[in-house]
Amino acid sequence: MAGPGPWSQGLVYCDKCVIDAILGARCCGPCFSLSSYCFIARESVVHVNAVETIIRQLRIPGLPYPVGRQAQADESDWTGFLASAWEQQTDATVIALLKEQESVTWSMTQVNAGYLADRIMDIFLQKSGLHPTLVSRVARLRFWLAWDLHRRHSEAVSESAPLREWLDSLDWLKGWSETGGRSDRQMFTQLDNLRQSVTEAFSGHSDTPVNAFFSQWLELIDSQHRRAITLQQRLLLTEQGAAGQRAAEYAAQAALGRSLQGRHLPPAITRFLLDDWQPVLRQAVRSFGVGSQQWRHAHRLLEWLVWVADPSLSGLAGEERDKLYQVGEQLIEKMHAVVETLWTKPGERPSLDYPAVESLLVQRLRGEAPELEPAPELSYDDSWLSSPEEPADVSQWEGRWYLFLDGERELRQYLFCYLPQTGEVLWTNGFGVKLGTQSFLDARAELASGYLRCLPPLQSFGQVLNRTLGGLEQLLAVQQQKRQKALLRAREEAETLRRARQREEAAQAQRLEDERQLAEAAARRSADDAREQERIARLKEEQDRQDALLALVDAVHLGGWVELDPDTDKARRLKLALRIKASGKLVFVDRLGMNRETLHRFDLAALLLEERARILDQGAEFEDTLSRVVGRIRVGR
Amino acid sequence: MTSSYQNSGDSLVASKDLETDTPETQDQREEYRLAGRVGVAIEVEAAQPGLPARILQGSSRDISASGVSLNAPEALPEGALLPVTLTLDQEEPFTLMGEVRWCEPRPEGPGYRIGLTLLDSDDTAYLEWKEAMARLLAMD
Repeated sequence: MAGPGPWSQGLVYCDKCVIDAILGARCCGPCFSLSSYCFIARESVVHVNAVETIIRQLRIPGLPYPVGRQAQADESDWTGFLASAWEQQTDATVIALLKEQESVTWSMTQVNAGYLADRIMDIFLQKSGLHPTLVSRVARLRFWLAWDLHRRHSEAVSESAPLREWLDSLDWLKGWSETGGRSDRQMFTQLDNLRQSVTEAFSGHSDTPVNAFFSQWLELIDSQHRRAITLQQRLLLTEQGAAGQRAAEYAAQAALGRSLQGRHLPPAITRFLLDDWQPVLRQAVRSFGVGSQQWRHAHRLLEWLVWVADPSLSGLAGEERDKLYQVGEQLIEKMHAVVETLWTKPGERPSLDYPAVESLLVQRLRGEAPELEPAPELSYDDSWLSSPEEPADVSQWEGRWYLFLDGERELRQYLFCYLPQTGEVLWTNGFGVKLGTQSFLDARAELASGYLRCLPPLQSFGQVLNRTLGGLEQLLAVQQQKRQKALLRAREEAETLRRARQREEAAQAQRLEDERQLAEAAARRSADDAREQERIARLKEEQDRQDALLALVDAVHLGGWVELDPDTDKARRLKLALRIKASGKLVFVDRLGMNRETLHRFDLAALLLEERARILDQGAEFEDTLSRVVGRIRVGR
Repeated sequence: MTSSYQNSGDSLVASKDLETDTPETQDQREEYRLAGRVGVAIEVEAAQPGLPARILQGSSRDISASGVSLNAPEALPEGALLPVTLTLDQEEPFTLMGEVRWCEPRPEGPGYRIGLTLLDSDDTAYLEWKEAMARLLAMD
């Protein structure tokens, strides 16, 4: 066996490499690992250290994170909450349960630990190829994993974490189906033990019970694995031998069947062929294979003997007679030679009825007509007269699990190896117990039709973990950049707004002052001019009216109601939704916030003057309504 | 001064590449939203004589300096201008005006996801909200 033995260095090969090792092939390099189970090449461990950063800082949309001071507050102990979910064996995710508790404020690390546990477990199990019942039971470990991630961060999923090793060992159960048999009871017993262990771990705030379970489980799997290796080795030898026997049997049957078809032979020759020469043909296939020189010789001698024995094939006139002489001279000698080649030790050689052949030859050469009878019709398949062509892709099939539906039942079987002697594949239960053989071509056709499905290859927990964490690390980096930009932008926008408001207030004050000064100047200029005074009085009256209207408009707060085109059939009641003092813009909407109408304050004042608009209320209720609901509220200064 | 507040993405697990694809990687060009729960109250129907106001209360999914998204049991019409209050921690709520930018059914269950853009207006706490968001973004 190439490479170190599986047990000598504490290593165990994956199933594919077990087969390679048994067959004497070279074990694949990436198969070796440092832990006790063999998996595909180990991934870098860099990302595991990112767990802490991710848990503390990542924010995923839609998750119930606290904001502001709540984010800094002490968090509540969630052990009981998770333990309860585990005890109920719910299939809900951690995050779904956290979201349901709307009155509870979860901390950032709790929410992210829950999210990470959900995500990692779901991806790992979805790609595991395990039976759905097993997947759903194992998935509930998410509650334990969330608790442990929150407590120990990267330690919970480090390379030395027992949970990780246990999850990877589940690949050994890929062949398990819920069939109602003894293996079901064993499996469910183990899962019940797991349930109990985790419950104890939660209640004791310690991972000791869980680790003890994992350890016991791994020992059990290890022992099963070793036993399976032994069974597989024996099975392979047995089945290879049996396949060789089958090939020999069918090839000999095919050679005889074809040669005897429609022939009439002396009974002694028929007996010789079936009883004495058939074993020779079988031995040629067993020892050297169909297509070997030894087989070709044995097959050829069979045909010559039939030719000699059947007068309808070998006449006595002219050339045929000469040929009969030539064949007859050498036939028995060549038969001896073939037998000696196939059985090198004289003591092992079978005893053949050569006298029967000699007697036949004498009869034929004398021109006598031997008594004939129809040769038996043998059923045969002449495809066995040549070696099955080994398909180029067969190695991709070996060492993998396949799924097929038997009625409504889902059945799993393991393709242990290809048998080149017969062109068949050997199906087992994955533990060295034979389920049957099948022509490889038939199996390939079933795969193409979808009747058979190949289960996904192993992806270790570490691989899934690292890829997941890698993606989340990148996401966090992007989030942090965007957050910084958003912070700067928010500060900038606030500063811009503040300055704009200050400018507006200053401009408003200046306008008022300018108006006051103009009014004083006008009053002084017109003091002596009665007509001018009258004109100014009129203007002042108009201005006062407009100012009063504008004051009315300005007194309408957000939520205040106006009616446009009152007392007409086009009358509309609208409430004030937006007021931009700087521009004088007013935006009104209907009761549902729709059908907006934008007016300038001057426009509304003009409408009021023309009695095409009416102020219904000034919106004191706006603040009152919301404040009744949410308490004392903050509005703009 | 308004900015659009677009839809941020869908479920957490159902994506093409489960391990590396997240809702956020699909949404790299939008404004940053701080995922988290704050109290949201929206006056979806104003009071009228004989009819009281109707307030929709809930929690946000995420917030930003210019908007908020939330899950709600009912749909709101896109384009509606509605009074909104946002409550951070135990502080006084911020009274604002919001415009419904998008409203779509929740993929993960009943109800709707709604995105609101906050609009600048007198008599609202728009400036105070910007300042509060700046403080929040500087935390964590």
